[in-house]
Amino acid sequence: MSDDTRRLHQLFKIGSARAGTALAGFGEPLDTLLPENGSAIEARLWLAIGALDLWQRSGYRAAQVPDRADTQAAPPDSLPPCPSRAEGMLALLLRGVHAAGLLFEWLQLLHRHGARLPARFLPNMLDAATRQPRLRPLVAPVLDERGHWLARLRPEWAWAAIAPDPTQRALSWDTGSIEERVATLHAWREDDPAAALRMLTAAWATEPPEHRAALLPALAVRLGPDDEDFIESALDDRRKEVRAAAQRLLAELPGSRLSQRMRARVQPLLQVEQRLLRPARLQLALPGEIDAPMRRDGIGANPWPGAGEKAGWVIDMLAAVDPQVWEQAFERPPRKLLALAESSEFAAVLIRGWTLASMRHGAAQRSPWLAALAHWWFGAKPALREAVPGSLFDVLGSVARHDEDGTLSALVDDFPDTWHSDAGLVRLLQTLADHGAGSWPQDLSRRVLQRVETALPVLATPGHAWAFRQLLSSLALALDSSTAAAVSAGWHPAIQPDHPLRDAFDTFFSTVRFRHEMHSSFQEPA
Amino acid sequence: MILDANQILALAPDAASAKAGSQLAMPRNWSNLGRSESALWGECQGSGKQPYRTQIDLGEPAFKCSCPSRKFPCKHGLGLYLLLDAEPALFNSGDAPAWVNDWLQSRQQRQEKKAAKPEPSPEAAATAAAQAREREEKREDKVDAGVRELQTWLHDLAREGLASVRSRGQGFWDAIAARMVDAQAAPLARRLRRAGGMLYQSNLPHAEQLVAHELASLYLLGEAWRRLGDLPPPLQADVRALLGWTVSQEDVLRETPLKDHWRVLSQTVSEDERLRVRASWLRGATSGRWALVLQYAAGTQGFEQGLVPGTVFDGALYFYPGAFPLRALVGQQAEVGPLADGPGPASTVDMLLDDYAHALAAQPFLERFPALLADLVPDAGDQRILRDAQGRGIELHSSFRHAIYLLAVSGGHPLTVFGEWDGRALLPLSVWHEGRLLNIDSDFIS
Repeated sequence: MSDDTRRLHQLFKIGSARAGTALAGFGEPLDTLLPENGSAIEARLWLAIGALDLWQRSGYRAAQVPDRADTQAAPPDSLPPCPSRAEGMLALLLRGVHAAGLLFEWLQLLHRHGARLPARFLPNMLDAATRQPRLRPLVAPVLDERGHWLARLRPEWAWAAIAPDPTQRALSWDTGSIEERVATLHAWREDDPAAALRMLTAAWATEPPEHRAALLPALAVRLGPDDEDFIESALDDRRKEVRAAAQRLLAELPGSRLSQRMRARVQPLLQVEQRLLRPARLQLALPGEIDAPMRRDGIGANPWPGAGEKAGWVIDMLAAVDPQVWEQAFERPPRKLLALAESSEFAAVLIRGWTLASMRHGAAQRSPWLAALAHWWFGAKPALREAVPGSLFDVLGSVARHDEDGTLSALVDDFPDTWHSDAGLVRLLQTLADHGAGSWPQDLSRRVLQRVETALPVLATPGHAWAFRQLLSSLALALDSSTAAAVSAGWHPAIQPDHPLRDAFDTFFSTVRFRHEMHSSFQEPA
Repeated sequence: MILDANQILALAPDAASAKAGSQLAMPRNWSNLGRSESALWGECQGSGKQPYRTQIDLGEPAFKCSCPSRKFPCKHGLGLYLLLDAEPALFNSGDAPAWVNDWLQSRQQRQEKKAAKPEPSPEAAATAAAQAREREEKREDKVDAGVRELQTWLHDLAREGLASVRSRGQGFWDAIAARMVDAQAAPLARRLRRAGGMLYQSNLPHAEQLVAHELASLYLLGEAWRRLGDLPPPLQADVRALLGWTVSQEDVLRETPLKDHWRVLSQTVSEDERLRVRASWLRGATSGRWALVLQYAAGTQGFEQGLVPGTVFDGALYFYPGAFPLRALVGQQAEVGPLADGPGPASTVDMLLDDYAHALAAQPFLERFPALLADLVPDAGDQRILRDAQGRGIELHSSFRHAIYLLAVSGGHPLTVFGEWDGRALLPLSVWHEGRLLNIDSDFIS
């Protein structure tokens, strides 16, 4: 802004009444343009501001901006572009026209197709994955060079910038906030678990207790036998949260010394009693005392509502032992063992302990225990069903989301004919579907669709409408879309305009069809 | 031209209609689907006994539906069009039923009637002209009084100083704006309210200067009005338009049309009180002429004429009179197709600055000036700047919210950007990217 302009704007700001008569002229060429022939200073001020504004706008000259060394252009992308029809589908998803969960599947399809994200939506996808960290593993591989380049421009997108070099990582480990350090440790464990463990071990003694409690759980990433000695030493930490984290990690580590100690404690308490001509019985003898080594391993650390103190110790012990141990010890498959447990005096204690153990060990090893527990659960009495935490089905749903070994198919076949009137089973199927978004195979999808089809006449009468509404919206995202589109086409006559679930079915049909289109949009040549 | 799903949804009057339309785009909702060269029709079973009859004239596109909804286009129209996009095989091509033909014919008749309006008898014309003159004189007196009042108000403001009226709040500005409404000078009222608003907008840089410029421009407009007779006739037309006189569409359609191959380079929709205003910038491929088409829609009504950014059509444009004519009406459209051969010849920054200076010399009250600039690189460091090939900085307008999207499509490489230049900053409206036009208002989602 020139001096003349500044003077004029200053004059307008304070007002001519206060500025006095000192400001008779505006300077050349304005004074020639606007002679002071009797007109008031206010009128001349407005004309002068207007004239200067026009003069500046018509005579604008763009100024040189110094070249910045750090603003290098992005290198060319290496992946092919996203097919244009699929790009249009992403635009519809980002406008929120369809269920938000479909974004996951779209990203999976893009990744499978081997293409990159369209540049115009990179800011949206980086923002979405910044808000929802579980999108990040899907977004990162399709960012390509342009995406990594863009991610460097905003601090909150740092997670998507190109993989940090080791010096950068060491720097953020040494000087970062505790949240950054936890994130660094996680990333380091993913790349090189041994190096990450060395780094943590070296810093351990000087870390304040709350940092130790925040950092230790990161060892769950690629946990292995090499970590055991260090974690075992953390069982003697002064801080309770650190001890609890160490107990959890060692209980999850197959064959750990803690797990063996637990087995040694609990195995003598359990016995199968086999008498002539009478059914076998599983007997549990409660432990007598608790001692310091037991407490060190985490026994008695957890409150178990509904179980007595000593029964609670048994749950803690069972939860830390791989349940396959019992198949060998009692020479029975999981199904038989669960039947034995059910008739035992301590049924709830045994079921709960085994469920917790299965969730810890079954996920990694695909043990038959998760499926066996689910089958057992259908037929169990309501009181015993409560011994199984709902998160069991979360674990099962996510471990078996592709149903490679037919676990879920067998489970669905095992559903009783009246499954639709059992709210627990409807919810169970919904939980499995939630974890199977975009991944259920055709065979499983067909079985589930048949199940829903047999329930259609019942659904037309008021009753379980609410649970089914939820189930439909989860199924719409999990079922194989072409199978679902084909099979559900036959349902239309049953869904009349006055059907109580008409709107839920309409959403189901439109979601399934959109997914079907989404799949085919990736099959077109780019 | 058949639109794609995103373009169809862009026609929706609101988000709820877009969603409802997508859900209706299912074969099970429809019967008697059909299409011809120019039209699309189907019957949609709603909650009533009779199905709704929905039809689309694909040319513009124009919609009609027998449902009672007052939204336009309604969800049935959107659903029908989306269904065509998703499953074209469902539409049998064949003869349109009577209810479709009747509508298409009545549309055609209306257009023909518009083209050939019967001349009134000489006596009636003379009476009408005398009445119009009388109304006109009354209005001129009112506006004249309003302009004088505004100038007096501005003198007072200059005497007191902007700093001392700041504390009086928006009401101070609304009061003078209301006086301008009474004086039938609605555009002055709108600009005064907006100027006051700028003063109290917390994150606007240099707000006081912007207010001073805007008020000075209003003052100059008042001066121009008072000396209207001395101005060349085209500039008189501009001054009158800026004070609120409207030129009837019939009068504009009597101007000589400009036939060309028109590229639709950008489109924005904004709210102006209860109206939605859709502004589309066009450029003639042969003439190089710029045109701004403004369309208005009330409430949830849709816009009458289809103009889709990133397309090109053969047609005749009628320009509103003025010293630097930009605003225009589209006479007829034919051969609509996607814009494939680029946005047309782009300028350098120097060419733009020269063109703008000439335009201001002819019409000093220009509010929007089109700028198609090649080889601009969004600066990754200072994200409010675009750099030209010589390393000079072009500032982005303070209302521009999509700087990060420009960076995403450029990746630090040169871009061709279309936008509006106001003499100090550029408001980008579209960008050419990988062989297609991205209209910032609709192709970026934020």
